[in-house]
Amino acid sequence: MAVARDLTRAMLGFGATLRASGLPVTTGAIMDAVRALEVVDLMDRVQVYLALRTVLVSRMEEQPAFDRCFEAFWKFQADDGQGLDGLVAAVQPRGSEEEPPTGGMEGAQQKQAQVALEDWDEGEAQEGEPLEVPGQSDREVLMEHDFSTFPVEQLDEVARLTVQIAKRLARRVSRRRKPTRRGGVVDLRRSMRANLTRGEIIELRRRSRRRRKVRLVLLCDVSGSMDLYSRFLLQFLYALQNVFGRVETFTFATRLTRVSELLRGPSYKSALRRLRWATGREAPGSATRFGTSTGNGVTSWTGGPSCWSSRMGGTRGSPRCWPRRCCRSSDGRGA
Amino acid sequence: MRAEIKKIEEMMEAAEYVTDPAIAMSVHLAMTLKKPLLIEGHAGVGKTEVAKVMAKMLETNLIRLQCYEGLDAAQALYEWNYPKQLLHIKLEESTSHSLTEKEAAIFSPPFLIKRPLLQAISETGTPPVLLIDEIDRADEEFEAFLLEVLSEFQVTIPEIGTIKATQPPYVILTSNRIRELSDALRRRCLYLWIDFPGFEKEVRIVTRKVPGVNERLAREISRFMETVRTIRLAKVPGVAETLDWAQALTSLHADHLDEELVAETLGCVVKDADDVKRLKRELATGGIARFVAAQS
Repeated sequence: MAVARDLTRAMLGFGATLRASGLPVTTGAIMDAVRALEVVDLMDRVQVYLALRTVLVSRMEEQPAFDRCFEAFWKFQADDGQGLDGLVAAVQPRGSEEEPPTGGMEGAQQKQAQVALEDWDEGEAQEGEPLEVPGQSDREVLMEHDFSTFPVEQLDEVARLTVQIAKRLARRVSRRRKPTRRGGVVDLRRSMRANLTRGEIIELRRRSRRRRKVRLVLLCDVSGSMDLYSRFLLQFLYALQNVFGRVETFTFATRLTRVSELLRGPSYKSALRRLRWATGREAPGSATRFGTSTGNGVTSWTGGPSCWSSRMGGTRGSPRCWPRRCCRSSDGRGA
Repeated sequence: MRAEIKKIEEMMEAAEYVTDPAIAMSVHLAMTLKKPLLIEGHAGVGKTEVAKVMAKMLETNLIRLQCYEGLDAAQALYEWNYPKQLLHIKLEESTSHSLTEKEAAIFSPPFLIKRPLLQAISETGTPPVLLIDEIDRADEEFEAFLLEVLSEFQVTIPEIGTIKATQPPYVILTSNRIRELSDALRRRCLYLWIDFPGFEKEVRIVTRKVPGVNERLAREISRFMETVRTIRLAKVPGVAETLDWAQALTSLHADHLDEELVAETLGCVVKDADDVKRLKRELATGGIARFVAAQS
């Protein structure tokens, strides 16, 4: 029983270490971890590591932090043979130098040694190197990121993320339902109507949720004040233009230029070349004339896609937000 | 107790699945702790295969729920068989049964169409393996609904009552990380990340799964794939691609890789026009030697 109690205590300590490193470990998870340790070989460090990792890690990104905590908390004590009272006695270790367990645990099987539970000491833990666990998630960090400071090598990543966002937008289903041949729920009204002349309900009509078609008009400010962002913005526009069928893209500074056709194509580089050729005539860094340029757009393009949507960039400062879908959509409600 | 994990490893190997300690441990814990196991990893690394092998190993049924956008509770849990109910009402018209009796009859188990989740819960005998595949494709609402089912393993059908699993099924969830899953779901699951296999493991997989492949070819293929995965591609090839390619090369009676052969069969490895172009360029500049040379 002493073993069980000490194991629980040690696990609670380990849980606290993990929590201090930013891993969201709940009491339930600790209880599961104790149960997991009961069904593995405590004398085998690799097994203990794998078992705890399976239970306490819930996403791949947490693994490096977990590895560090595991190393710090469950230290090898082969040389001095110290262990917590009532816990496993030392077994002759085979592994030479301890090395942090890697993600795949390749070849880690040979690394067999005893698990000596070290009495966890808060003071000691704080002396060691601080664990590099971000307090914020990556996404959070990116949200705070100023687009003008995006390094070139991250542009690929931007393109990938944009496509991902665009695909999600394209896949959205509406709350409204449309008639379908198979699947979906029974459409009572249409079933009744279809069977009116038959006297009996013989044929069932069904309906399911329809896909919401996304129609976007993108306006991009390419005037002098937005120079810093234009690389990022163009990448974004390019990705959006090539995922959706119905996107109209305009750039504006002193006047509005329609660039939808120029952005279409498999290669970003050639799209840039076409853009440079088409918009090169515009004075670079010129002042923005919002009224004239967007006003033109309203008058000449309201006949096209009926949904005014996103506005990239802003009038001043950094465009931190993703496009806002605003104004009106075809059914007269907010899109 | 170590023997149990060893045994699982052996059983997985016997079921034609090349495993490693991490996978065996996760399967062992999922079985003993009776908790759902969430498996994440790149496409084509054998996530779904774990569930299939588990069912084979335990000699039980595999019930599969393939998730997709718009999947709702009715398609995952149960539906009433409307046409059958209508037919029954028609047949019952001339009988002297009371309305209550008729109603009870049409809302009884024979008229219930069990969808995967209910099927897994209501199964008697050995608990089945429930595979919830590509959970990241389903909507967030469905994920929330799943939470309830996975924690209680019971379903309430208003007309029949509550059905509770006598033996909770072994649950395996897989995700390709298309969408971030909620913390609530992650908390309820054990977690396993399956990475691309290392060189030795991939050689073992190829020799195991592709009969007739020679040792040299298997090693060259694995080395080639290892290098290809370090190149920035739109779609990084997984183990499934390796196996397809090995199969193709074996049927061409190849015993080693050369540039011409690789160029001809590149379609098995990368499935994107830009990737093919890029890989061809890399091959032209670095030659095949760069790809199959042992890495230090």
